[in-house]
Formats: sequence, C-alpha cells, structure tokens
Amino acid sequence: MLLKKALVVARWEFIEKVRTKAFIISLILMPVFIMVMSVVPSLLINKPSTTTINIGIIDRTGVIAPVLDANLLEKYKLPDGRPNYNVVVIPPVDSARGEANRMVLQGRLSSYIVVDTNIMTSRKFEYISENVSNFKDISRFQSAVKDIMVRNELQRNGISSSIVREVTRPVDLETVRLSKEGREEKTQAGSGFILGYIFIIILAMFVLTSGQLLVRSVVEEKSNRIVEVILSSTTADEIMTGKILGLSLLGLTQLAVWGAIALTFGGQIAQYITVPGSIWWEGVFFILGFLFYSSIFVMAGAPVTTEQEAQQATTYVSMLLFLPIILATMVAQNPNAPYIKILSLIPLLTPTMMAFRIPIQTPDLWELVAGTLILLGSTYFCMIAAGRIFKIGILVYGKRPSLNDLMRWATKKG
Amino acid sequence: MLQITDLRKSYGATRALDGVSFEVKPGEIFGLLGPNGAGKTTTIRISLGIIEPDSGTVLFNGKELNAGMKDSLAYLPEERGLYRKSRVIDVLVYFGGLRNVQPIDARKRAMHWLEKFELSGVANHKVDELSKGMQQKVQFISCLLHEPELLILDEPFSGLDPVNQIVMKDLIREMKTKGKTIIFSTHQMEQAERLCDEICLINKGRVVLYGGLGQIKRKYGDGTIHMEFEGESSNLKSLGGIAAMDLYENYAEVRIRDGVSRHEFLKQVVSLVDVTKFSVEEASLNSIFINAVNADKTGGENVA
Repeated sequence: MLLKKALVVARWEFIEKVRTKAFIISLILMPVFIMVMSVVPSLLINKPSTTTINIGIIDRTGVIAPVLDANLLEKYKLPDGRPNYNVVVIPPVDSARGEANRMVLQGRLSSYIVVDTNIMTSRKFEYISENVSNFKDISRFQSAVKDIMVRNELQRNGISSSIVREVTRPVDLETVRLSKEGREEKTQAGSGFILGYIFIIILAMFVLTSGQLLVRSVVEEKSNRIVEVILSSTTADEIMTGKILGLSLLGLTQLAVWGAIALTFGGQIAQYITVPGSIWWEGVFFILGFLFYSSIFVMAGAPVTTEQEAQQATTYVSMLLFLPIILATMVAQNPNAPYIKILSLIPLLTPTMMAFRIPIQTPDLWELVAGTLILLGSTYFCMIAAGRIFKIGILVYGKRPSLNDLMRWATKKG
Repeated sequence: MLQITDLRKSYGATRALDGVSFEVKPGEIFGLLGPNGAGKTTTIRISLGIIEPDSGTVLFNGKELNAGMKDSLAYLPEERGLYRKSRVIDVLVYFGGLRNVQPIDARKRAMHWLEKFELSGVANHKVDELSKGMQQKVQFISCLLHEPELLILDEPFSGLDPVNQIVMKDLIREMKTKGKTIIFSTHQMEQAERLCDEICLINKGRVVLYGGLGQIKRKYGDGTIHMEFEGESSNLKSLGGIAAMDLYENYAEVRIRDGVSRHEFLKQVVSLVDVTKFSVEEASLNSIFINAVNADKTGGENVA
C-alpha cells in the first residue's frame, strides 16, 4: 500500500517533467553546451593557421636572429607548405623598440621578441604584443630560442651538429597507474583527474537537476494547495519517497541520453581516459550521495513558499556540491594528505570528495568503508529529518521558518 | 459516519479549535458553518488527517482513519488549484491513482464526468487554457473518480458564478441521492439553508449551534413578520414596539419586542399603510447565524 501510492507519485513526477519543454531543451542543450565549452576551443587552438604570421626580433646578441627563421621554418609550416612564421629582423639600434612598437600597432607585425646580450646568464627574453594570451605562439618562440641557445652552446664546445640534433630531440613520457591490487594500468597523464572531474560534475548536475525540480514541484503544489488534496489521499512519507524516486528516474534518463550522446560523438574523449578497476566504489558514493543530497534538498525546499526562496535554498546546497572542485588541484597533488582524508569523511563532502579521489588514487579500504558507513548513517538520519520537515513544511505558508523551527520539526516524532 | 470528539488545536498562541465535537450521520448533508477564521478549515484538515490535532479524536465508522480509508474520502479544498501545465485528463487520472483507482478506470470515469459537464472537448487541453469556472468543475470531478463514501467540500460555492452555483448545488443533491455523505463548509447561509440536513455552527473554535436544520430553526426562529404594502413607507417609522426593522419601499421585515402582540402591531400598521401581505415566518438561518455569533461575541450565554 505504502509503496503503491509512492509509485503513483513517482510516475506522475517523471512523466510530467519528462514532457516539459525545459527538460527536453536541457537534454539537448547541455551536451551542446559542454561540447562548445570543451571541444571548440581546443579545435580552434589545434587548427592550423592559414596565414603566415609576421614576427619581429630585436637581437642584441646577433646569434639568435639569423637562425630563428630557419628554426621556426623547420618545425612549423602552413598546410599549403608556406612558412607559418615570417621573421622580420629589426636592427638593434636605440630607436628599435619604438619602431617595432609602431609596426605592431600598424599591424605589420603581430608581435616581436627582444633578446638582450646577457641572455646566456639572465635566461630571459621579452615578448611584446597587443595580445599576450596567445599561448601557442609564445611557447613556440620560447622553445625555438632555447633550442638555438643550446645548439650554439654545444657547437661552441666543439660538438658535431649531427650529435647536437640527436641530443636536442624531444623525449616522451608514458604514465602507468598502479592500482591497489598491484595491477599496472597504462594511463594518460591527468586521466584520473579528468575522470574525477567528470564524476563530480555529473553528480552535481544530477543532484541539481533533480533537486531543483523537487523544490519547484513542492512550491507549485504548495502555491495551488494541491498538496492538501494529495495529503488527504496519502501520507507525507509516500509523497516524499515518490518524488525522490520519480526525479531520480528523471536524472537517470538524462544521464543515459547524455551518455549515449557522448558515446556517439565523443569517441576521442574515451582514448584519453582509462577507467580504474576500483570504479564500482564510485557507484556506491554516487547513489548514496544522490540520496543524501536529495534529502537536504527536501529539507531546504519544503518550507519555502515562493520560486524566489526556492532558488535561494537550492543555491546554498549547490555550493556544497562544488566545494571539492575548488580543492581539486590540492587533491590531485596529494590525495593522501591528512586534511584531505578528514574532509573526505565529513558527510556533506564525502560523496564528491570520494568520487573525485577514487579515479586519481583509490583511497585505502578503511577510508572507503568508513566513508560509506558515515554516508549511510547520515543519509538515514537526514531522510527521517527530511520526512518530518517535509510533513510540517509543506503546510507552512508565508513566513520563512527559522533554523530553530527546522530543528524543532526535524526532532519532532510522529 | 464521522464522529468528532473534543478536537483541540493551537497554532502558537492562537487557539484555533477549543473542543469541537459533532457527528455526521451516513447519507446526510452536513453544513459546517461559521464566520471567517472560525476554525472550519482546521476542523476539515484534521478530519482528513492532513494535520494532527493537539487532542481529541476523529472516528470513521467507529475506527480511526487509516491509509485504506483515505480511498473512500474526497476533499475539495477552499483554495482551488490544479497542475496548470498538465493536461486535464492526466491530472484527473493522477488524482484517481492517488486514491487507488486504476488508470483505465480513472480515464473512463473522468471522461464520463467531463461529458456530463460538457467539458469532454478540453480533456486534452492544458489546465491553464481553461476558464476559472471550467477548472473548478474539473477539480470537482477529481473528487468523484474514486466514488467516495464521504465528500468533504471546503467552501464549494466560493468563487462560483450564479449559474455554476446551481450546478454545484445540483451535484451535491445528486451525490446525496446516490447515498453519499457530504460535509461542506460555508459562510453563505442561503446555500446551507437550502441543502443541509444538519448544521454545526462554529465560532472562535467552539461549537455555538448544532443540530437538525428544522429543529434549530424552530428553536431559534422567533417569529419574524414579513409584510408587503402600498403607501408611504416612511409612515412606518413611527411604529412602536419594534425590536428591529428592515424597511424598503414596499416591503419590510420586522421583529417585534417581547410582550407586544402581533394583533396590536398589525392594527397600527393598517392605520398607516395599505397592507397587501402580512405573514409570520421563521427567521432565516442568516439571522440565526448573526444572532448566535453576536451573542457569542458579547459573552452572552451559549445558545447551544
């Protein structure tokens, strides 16, 4: 009996929300958005240039400028075979800088570099341009200048040019992740980091979408008093269970569609990611995390009356979800730092912290078990508290209850 | 059918219900009357298990309300609302489902009722495309799908235009002939007077009047004189022995003081205007209501 009506509610929540334009748009829009955000910039960066770029050089050493053109030409060519860069040598007279600046502003140069006589000791040179965010060009010039310096120095010490070329060839590195079970898994560097990131974002999206829908549907039912009719036919617990169930199903649908889109169009992404063997722990924290955050959304959402308040309530909860992203680099560098371990066992952070850490370096078993137990316990208590707050909150209109009120409701039996 | 005993409920310092008791018999139309804020809605919500009383009991056929019994109740809340963005038929099937009606049956019954209200054309429309009157009918239909034994209607007439008030009144009558029990709350006495078998008047969380409508009217309906006349109505202002008078151009409603005989009164009137009709009737429920509430307000003795 209890489950049956919860299922009726779940079915309703699912079908009515699946049909909404907002949901259908989010289904399509989100992947498009992610694509645009992640793929397009990298496409643009990796896209070969089609025009030769003029760069200037003021070389006070007299040894860089003559070979810079050849060095760049050797490595970077346009698809049609023309040189990618055209080096304009500006004589290192006193007025050179002013002249070069003028040429940049007139558009005759895209940028220029200044090499001082003491470069061998200062290990520094200047890059001047209107745009200094052009990472690709900057790093190319940097490595070209360094290359020339190394070759010059080696040649000056009487080493033959063939050996010089051999010595200055780049070296590649292959990363292998050692799993807890001692297995070696060939992995792209940073793959765990990306995977962890993806998990957090999916969990956050999942929780936020369902959470927001949950809060909104409660607000709607409160504002038109449908809630009274529903409450007269069933219990608050069944309504809550039904809503969480229906909206989880909705989230899963969303995930499935996005997953399908990712598999169809994002084939290349897969080659950068290696899934570690301990991945099923990820599922444990994902599901528990979802239930835990859902109960928090219920607590935050049930007592509010207007859309605006609902928005506020959800914003606060979302902040908690994204906290591990702020800590991301610290976690990646030292996932076993004591403070990371402690943070991972704070219920509000456990799901995301664990989801992030598992792909990077699987935490010790005791940590995983402790995290699961803590999360299970807190989910249980939160669900009960949420049920009580929900029961009273859905009948409260107008004045927003204080934290004290919420505590009183949460601890009230019956 | 429904037995309510000594309900008490406070919201903070406000005492919403202060010992309300009454009983609704099977198959009757029971009117829960009272001014705004008297505690009608609170009583209804407690009866339906939406909120818990501080103390007191609610029994259905001698038993406490349980989940299974909820399927034989229907509730129309005072503030009307449906899912605005959803289709009419879907909303109806959902509400049916919440009362354990299978979707197929719910759909069939919903269509039956929609046809009856000449709304079958909008079954697939979204709720917010409907006029307010249509929405109210749809909401009423949502109360009927599970063929409830007891219908509890909170202010069913509020917000309805005169035509739809008649539709609603006929419906309530129809439900009664089908053997359903109906409780409705209202502060419109005309409706209560025409429909109710029994009434319970609540004021400030307490029962002030309770019993069969006829019995109450006989008990408190001290004879009121209704008269029609021709002539100068202002002449009647000089009449003596009057307790209260409602004077119009050709019509007056008068209550005379105790100890003044109708015979003497009529003699006076005849000498002033040309009387065409003179009758003594029961006071309307409206004036009983107002008297009872006023007596309660001034701390007068409890009329019940």
